[in-house]
Amino acid sequence: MSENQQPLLELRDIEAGYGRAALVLRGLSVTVPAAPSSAWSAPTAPGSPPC
Amino acid sequence: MIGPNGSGKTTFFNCVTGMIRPDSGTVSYRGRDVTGKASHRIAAAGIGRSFQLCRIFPRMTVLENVLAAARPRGIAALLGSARGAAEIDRARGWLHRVGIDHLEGAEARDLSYGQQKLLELAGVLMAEPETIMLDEPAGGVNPALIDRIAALVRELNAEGRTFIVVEHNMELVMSLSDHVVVFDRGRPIAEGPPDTVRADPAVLEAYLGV
Repeated sequence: MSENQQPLLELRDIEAGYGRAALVLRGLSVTVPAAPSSAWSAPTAPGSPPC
Repeated sequence: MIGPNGSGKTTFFNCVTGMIRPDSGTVSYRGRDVTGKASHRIAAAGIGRSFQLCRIFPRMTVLENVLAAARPRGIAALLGSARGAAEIDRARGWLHRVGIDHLEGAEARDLSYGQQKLLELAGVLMAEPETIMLDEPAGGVNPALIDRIAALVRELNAEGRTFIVVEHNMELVMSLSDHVVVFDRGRPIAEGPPDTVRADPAVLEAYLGV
């Protein structure tokens, strides 16, 4: 897989918080897609990287 | 990223940027495992962030604040605090971009809250991140400065930087974003283009209370 095809950011099954009594994220999985390089040239256009 | 208070948005930021270590699971950035890495390593990988409550040095000048955020490079890294003219120019350039270059000699504590937000953003940019995570950039900021922040995000996005934004100002989120993730109780409950998310019944119930 090329770098362009990889997600920008990927979280898988995250459990996290501030001590056992304050678990905030419970099995969080989120993927932030990497934008296609063609989007960079289009200011504020649809398809540009996620904001 | 939107969601009610306590839904996990800032904790998500903290996990990604190394402020807290997840109890389990993995965080990958551009295919590289960065789970539990120290904040400075995450920053070196290309991720910068701002905070819900501004983190600046109140008794330092505006220019000094931005210089303090510089990532040491080359000979400057070897000499510790050495600051070349080029680095100072770069700091001034970012202050100009965010619109507070006229305040470079002022102490940061004398700036308005909105100006402090812009100062923090200039500091984030000084480290030249390719991905910028903003935690409530419009919180407590007057409408004119919100417009400036939004315009700056659009400009920097067009130049190739990716933004991940936690924000309660729905108008700002919907106008800036290509992809929206809605959090509730530590999990995403919806995601997609703004118009799709806006119409999602789960979002209306959890976030808007209708």
